[in-house]
Amino acid sequence: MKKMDIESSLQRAIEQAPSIDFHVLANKPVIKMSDHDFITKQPIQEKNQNLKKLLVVYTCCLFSLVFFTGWLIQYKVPDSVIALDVNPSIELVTNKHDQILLVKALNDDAKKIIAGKEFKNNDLFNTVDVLINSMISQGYLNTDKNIIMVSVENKDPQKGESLSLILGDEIRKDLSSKNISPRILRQVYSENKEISALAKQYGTSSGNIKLINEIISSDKNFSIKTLSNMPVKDLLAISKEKAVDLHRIIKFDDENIVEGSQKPNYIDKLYTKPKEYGKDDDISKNRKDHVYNNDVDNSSGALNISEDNINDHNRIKDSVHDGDADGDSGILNISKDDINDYSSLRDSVHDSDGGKESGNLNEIDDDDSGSQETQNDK
Amino acid sequence: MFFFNIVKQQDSYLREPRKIKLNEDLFIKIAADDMEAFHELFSITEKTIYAFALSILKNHDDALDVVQETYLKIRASAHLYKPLGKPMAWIFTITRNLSISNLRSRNRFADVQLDEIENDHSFSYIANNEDKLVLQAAFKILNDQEREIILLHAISDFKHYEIAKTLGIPLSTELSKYHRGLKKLRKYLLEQEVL
Repeated sequence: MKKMDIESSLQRAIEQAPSIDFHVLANKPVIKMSDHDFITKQPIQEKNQNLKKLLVVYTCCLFSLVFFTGWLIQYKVPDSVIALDVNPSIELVTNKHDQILLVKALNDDAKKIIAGKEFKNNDLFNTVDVLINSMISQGYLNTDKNIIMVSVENKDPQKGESLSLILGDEIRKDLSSKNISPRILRQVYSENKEISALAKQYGTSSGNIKLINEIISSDKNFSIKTLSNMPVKDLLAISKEKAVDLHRIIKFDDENIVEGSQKPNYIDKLYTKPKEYGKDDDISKNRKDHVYNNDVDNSSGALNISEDNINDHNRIKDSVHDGDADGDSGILNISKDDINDYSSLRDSVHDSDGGKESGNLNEIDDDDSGSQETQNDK
Repeated sequence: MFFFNIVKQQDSYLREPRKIKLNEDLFIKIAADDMEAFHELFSITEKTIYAFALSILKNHDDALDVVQETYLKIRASAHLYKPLGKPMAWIFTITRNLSISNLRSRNRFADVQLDEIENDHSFSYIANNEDKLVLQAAFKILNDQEREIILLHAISDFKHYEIAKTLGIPLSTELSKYHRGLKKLRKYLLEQEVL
């Protein structure tokens, strides 16, 4: 018997079964039900079930996406970029909840400050505490070096302002507890790609670049490269010297910060034109003589420092201080070729100046005008 | 001549599987006590519902009772029917629920014994002994789902996917149960020298 034969057999057996009488069935009284009972309850259509399942899955995915996006925006998307400039320049990127996403050392000094420390997801203010304490312990902040610039980049100027104020207070508290009276400069600005690119290029913060730009706008003889290596304290001194109005970009909690800035001697060498020394006052005369004495081949009075060879601004600064103890130096010209090693530079300053007045260390320019720019800047 | 008459009589029972194409509007008409619509539904579905009830209850009289109750339930609740595109699934649901209820009320959850099936005089209406043995073998050898699938496939023109959909099982399950059931049945019938 084939498969169909079995089915045919079954079909015949069923078909032969006596039927119920339809008329009896039709005449039976029936009470209409008001609602389905467990017997007549309609099965939920599979399509609807599948649709419901799909809908549930879709809704779950949508909610997950919304929650994930919300979480991402709240906790992983940068909200503020805060820069602390002393000379160590440190950039802190935070989320909306002021938690640290990234701490970036913008120069070598900053690398020493953050070395071996883990800041990710820490509270911004605790992180600033740690950084400030580290700067104190490593000598970047003390009673003399007490100027800090806090720059806050945020789309919302109000939030940026309040954040800079809170950070200023926090830093003030930290330093006060160490008997250091801080002088805090605050900057708040929105993202500027051009400034950010320059900051990245010169290894400093955007806040510092803005400050430098203000100085350069008043004296084109400076270059970003030169100024970007300087501590904030010295930049303030230059701005004071050049009468640059920094109030446009910086808020001073203490208006005496600029006024009280002491111009380091080496700054004169960076920007003062030799012709200015030509006046016949005693000091300038002495300086001129001194320069001529030291500048064997020419009368150049310019300070020419090859920027390629200046890797450490502070060391240069120290060297100049050493070489020019009285602050009445003449023009310092250092040729690119001659300065291969900072140590030799320092030695040469010592040798040539003998702890008195520094003269022109090495021959450089043929012209008499001198220059305040470094060779590379030329 | 006698042999010819028997064969002819058997062939008269063997017909094309019933075309079960229900229009859901029938339920609206039945809800409005349209007896013609009710008769149409009855004539299209009666044997299929009987086969389904029989596959669960394994007893002709109980199956007839359930069939009758099924139609009465349809009349009582046709106005509550929501057209979902599967009218037969709803009727099968009613039939299954009534069959289970019937089994519970008679405390007959336990399988009907083979002897009981073989001595069941309710199948005496089946003229051909071979057909009767095949039906009885189906009750004895097959499990509930295999029996439901094979009887529905034999009595109606349901396709496999339609049976699977109506019984709420995956098509692959339906197909495997159908083939396995038939194989078991054939093997048993061969052993019993019915085939």
